[in-house]
Amino acid sequence: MAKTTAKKKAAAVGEVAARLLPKPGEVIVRMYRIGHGDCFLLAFEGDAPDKPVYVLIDCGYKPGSSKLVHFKEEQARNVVIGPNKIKDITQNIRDATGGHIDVAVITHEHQDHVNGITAKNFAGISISETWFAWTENPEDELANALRVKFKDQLIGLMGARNRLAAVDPDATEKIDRLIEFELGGEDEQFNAVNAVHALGAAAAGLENSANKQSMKLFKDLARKEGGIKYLRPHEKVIAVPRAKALRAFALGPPRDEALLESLDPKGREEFHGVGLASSGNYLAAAVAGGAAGGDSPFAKRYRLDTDKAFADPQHGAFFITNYGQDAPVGAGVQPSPSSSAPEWRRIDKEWLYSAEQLALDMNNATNNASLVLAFELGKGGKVLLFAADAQRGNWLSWGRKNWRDGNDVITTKDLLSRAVLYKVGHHCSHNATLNGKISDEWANLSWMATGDAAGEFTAMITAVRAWAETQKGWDHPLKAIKDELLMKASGRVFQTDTAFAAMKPDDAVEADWTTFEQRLTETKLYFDYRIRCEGCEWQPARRP
Amino acid sequence: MASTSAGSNLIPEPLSRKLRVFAFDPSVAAQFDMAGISEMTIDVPWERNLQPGPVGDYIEVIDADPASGAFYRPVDLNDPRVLAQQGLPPSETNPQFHQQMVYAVAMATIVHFERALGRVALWSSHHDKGSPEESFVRRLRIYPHALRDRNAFYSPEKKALLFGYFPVGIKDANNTPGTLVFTCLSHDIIAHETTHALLDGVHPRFNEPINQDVLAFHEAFADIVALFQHFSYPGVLRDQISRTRGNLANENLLGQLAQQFGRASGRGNALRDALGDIDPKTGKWKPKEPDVRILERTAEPHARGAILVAAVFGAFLKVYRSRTLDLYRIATEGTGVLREGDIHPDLTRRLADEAARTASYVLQMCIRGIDYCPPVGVTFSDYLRGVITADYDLNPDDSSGYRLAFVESFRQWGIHAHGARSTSVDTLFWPTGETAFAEMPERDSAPVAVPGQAAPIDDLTVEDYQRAETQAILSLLNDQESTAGPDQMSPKRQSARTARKLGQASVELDRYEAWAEIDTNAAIVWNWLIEGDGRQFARSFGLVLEEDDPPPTVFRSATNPNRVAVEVHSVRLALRRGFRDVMDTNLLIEVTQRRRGYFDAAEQKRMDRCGNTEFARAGDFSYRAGCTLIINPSDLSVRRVIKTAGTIADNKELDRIRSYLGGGLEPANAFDSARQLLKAREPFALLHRDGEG
Repeated sequence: MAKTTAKKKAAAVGEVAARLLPKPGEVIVRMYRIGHGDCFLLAFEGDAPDKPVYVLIDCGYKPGSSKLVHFKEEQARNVVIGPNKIKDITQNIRDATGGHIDVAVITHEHQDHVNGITAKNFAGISISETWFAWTENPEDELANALRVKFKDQLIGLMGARNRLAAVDPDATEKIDRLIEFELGGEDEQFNAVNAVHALGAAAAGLENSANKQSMKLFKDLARKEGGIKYLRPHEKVIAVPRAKALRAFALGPPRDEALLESLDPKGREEFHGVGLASSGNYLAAAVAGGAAGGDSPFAKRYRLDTDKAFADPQHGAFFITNYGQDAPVGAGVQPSPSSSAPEWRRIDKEWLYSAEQLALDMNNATNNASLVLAFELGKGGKVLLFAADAQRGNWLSWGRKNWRDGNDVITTKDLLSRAVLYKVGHHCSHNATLNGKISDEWANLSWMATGDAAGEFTAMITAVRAWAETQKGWDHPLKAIKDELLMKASGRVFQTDTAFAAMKPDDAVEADWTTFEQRLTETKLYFDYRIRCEGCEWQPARRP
Repeated sequence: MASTSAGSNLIPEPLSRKLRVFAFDPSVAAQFDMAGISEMTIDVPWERNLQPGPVGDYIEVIDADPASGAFYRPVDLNDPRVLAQQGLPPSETNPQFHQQMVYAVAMATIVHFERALGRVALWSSHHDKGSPEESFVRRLRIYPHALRDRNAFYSPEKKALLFGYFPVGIKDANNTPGTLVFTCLSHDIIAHETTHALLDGVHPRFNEPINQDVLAFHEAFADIVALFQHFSYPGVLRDQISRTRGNLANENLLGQLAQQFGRASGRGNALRDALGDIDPKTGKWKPKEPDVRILERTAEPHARGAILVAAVFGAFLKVYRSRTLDLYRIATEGTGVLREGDIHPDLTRRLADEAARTASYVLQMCIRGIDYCPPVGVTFSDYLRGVITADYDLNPDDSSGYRLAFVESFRQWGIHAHGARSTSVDTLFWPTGETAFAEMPERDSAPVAVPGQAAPIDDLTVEDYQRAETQAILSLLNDQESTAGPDQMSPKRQSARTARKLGQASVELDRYEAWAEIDTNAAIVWNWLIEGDGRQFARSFGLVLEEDDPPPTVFRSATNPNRVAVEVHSVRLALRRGFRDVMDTNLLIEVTQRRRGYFDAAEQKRMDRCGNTEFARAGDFSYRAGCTLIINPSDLSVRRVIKTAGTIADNKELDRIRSYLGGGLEPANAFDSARQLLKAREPFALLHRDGEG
């Protein structure tokens, strides 16, 4: 029923997109040019030629960025191509899959990965399985502890943000942008004040954030068919339903034992109530104290409240002379013109800047909680690596454990050496692709595509440069990493905002480039990239 | 000295003020077996006009706690009741003791500095935004309770130390959750942050991370000062000597920094340990082994800095061991094997004396070394050369082998002079003026004729060179400052200069006068270098002037676009007691040039093109190059020429900095961007966050 309405709507716009059908021995990766964010549709051979296995990885974008997807090309060719609207993208997903997704993956709870997932956008689409990282598992003790901590910090952060707004409105811009990631939504003009008010800045309110609703939607859809999976890294080789010879490996997020230990459950219970479980919460407790501040660590007899200190008969002059204040109050004591108490030395706001760091930490923590997946096309075959927004901490953990595969051991180094496709971590930002040597003990770019895969290695960067430049300090993609990727992939580096014509490097080998060109399709909405996979046809497994 | 009240002239001014502090931090004080050394009394210079706060001549402690909405009443250290008991007793719950402790430890650190550098310590100048003027900062401000964060840092912007406090979040043998950790009660954190401020006063450009060593150096240097300061406290030293039976290479508190902070961050031991680490597998402490390759694998500033600290500590241990060999022989009747049990108290005392003397000398060497560094972009290798050369110049005779110990220990940790062809100590000396002139690289092209200037001289015989040098230095020292200031050196520090000869300043100057004096001196040196006798040596100093036809991105004078801008900073006189107790004088001069750097190499090329004077946009970063000159006024020679890695026209060096700033292909691990730090509001706050002190 829902399906037909959807088709009608699409028909009303004028066209129904074709189904995405891989040829035998082929995999198609559709990279939606959704904006500054991730949305991938993978089609693998299924149990019948017209029934491929569809895997959707994330569906989100930074509001405002979708308008600039074609900006570079529009400038270069002096044409108007227009934005890519989310409803067109989800309509295309619906058409291409015939309304059914076999596996939906949500890598992590950030706006630019999930905000396209709304009931409206996904009306008429069913899902067999939804995969999350173990950090989302409601039955996992550590995950629950982490979430409680995170929620407390978020509440504290929003409180600090409001206090900072009162004294230094400009200083909140960066924090607001980070909060926006955590709460999500599709509004282009994110307003942290409204968001905080709308949610009531309360624990319960945070459960209703746009991000949480997106996560819930995919959970509910999959629940109907009984398939929610919470994946732990290095645990087992994951089978993909109906798919021929396709296997998946979870590389991250790490289950950090050190973290487990530091979250002493007893301590947590005890101190949760008074909000002292972490520095972040301590900050929050001070914030909660309102303008009068939190509890001072010292006895009253040593203390002079900020509003009374300057009028204190004994010490007022000391603070006026040495610290100073904007408008002298009370006691008639005026600061002398030669006062050594200039404004630039005061620290009234400094402690609140910790909030910015807290916001950044939380943002990084969520990125590091990214579900990192490697899809293996047949045992010992080519590998597609989707690194989501994994940053340094996540990367470092990949190589620490191995998988057991029957009697064999599969290592991360082995998987990465067979990577023919790398979805570049976190919009190709500075700490989301590690550099290093093949001999290094941490997973890094040199580990990738070392074997037969080297000549085919291709990278995909989900970034809209023109939009990122409007955000202070966002260097996406980072030139140093992109250059390295371009070199490693001989120019085969997709980027959301870059037309195929602009991709070709000056020194490309013509024959190689033609081969590459034959394997891809470019439209306004997406790139399709086809990968041959011998292993997909149940051939006897190659020994690694 | 004028007396304030009748009769008081009968009483001599005290030399020092005794103040009680925690010897390490409250966590060490709370350990039963450390009871003997939990607190100590330190001597700080007597400041007669010390105000409540304390607010003295160098430091002002203002106890504002905005997160609690409160100020804390300032302590009055001149209160007779406080004086009589050598300061307030150590207490975590009395904020006035916190004020006393930060004051005392910071002052002790300043004393070490002034003694080593032979001049008064100055804090870096304040710049108002958008104004070229600088203003004097008399006092470093200390906020003992500024933040509710696991952090403490020096703010170059505010000329202040901001200490944080935070609750313990973990529960183990050393921690009780919910109790507060005050970073301002850690001797090491105070000494470390004060050193950041002192170093910033000497080298304000050392917080610009243009290579991977700069920030690491700042951290390492601050740690070195904090560590070796431990050895100046006899009680603590004797206790630790006795516990380790004189073997300071074993785990001991002297080699560790910030125990409480480290444990509260869940690492189970001190924040940093110069001697060893807890082995994650066995949970046991094990000594650090030198590793020549470790620098190649390490990029994070604290981890990198720790390597430098380990190298210096290694040098200290080598000398200490060799100086105590005889004592061990005497105590063991030649066997060298100590009997089981405690060592004799006399031996403890003698070993402690040796350790104190050695540590004091090593600390002085380390501090003096910073005068012998290039003005920007210091590397570990530069620093090693600086330490060695400065020590040689002061004390040519190295009977205890300090320099050899440094070179060997640094080599074991993979730090050596770039491109050096031998490993002997003397290859590390910075070149003298004469060597620098003789080794001047060939010109790529013939010099451009500059109107009003004689053609530059590229070679002279040894005799001619010496004559020219003596003549030039003589003219520099006798130069009465011309009434018209040089066009490129507008006065920044005071509106009217007093005509004074260079080098008349003395160590007794008030610190404000010493600071203002730098401007006067800089003008004299600028005139000499650009208009006077110094110009013939400019190229050997690594400077690029009009005749070298540098690219247009090199800054030109604001008043005369045909002239290359040359900035003279920090002309200062250092007076020290040197070899055979002869007073040793050094005139230190820092000269830099600036060039617009662009992150995009193609844009750089475009801007560098000949004849281009229209800069579409200002540079993305400033590339600076230049030199530090050390002039010996007594024998009229250029004692040392310490150049930056490249000249201002050096494109290779500019490329290297660009690629480092742009996400660094140079560091061996992550694609982390140094640019983030370049723009940071509080560079040290970022560095010092969470568990990195």
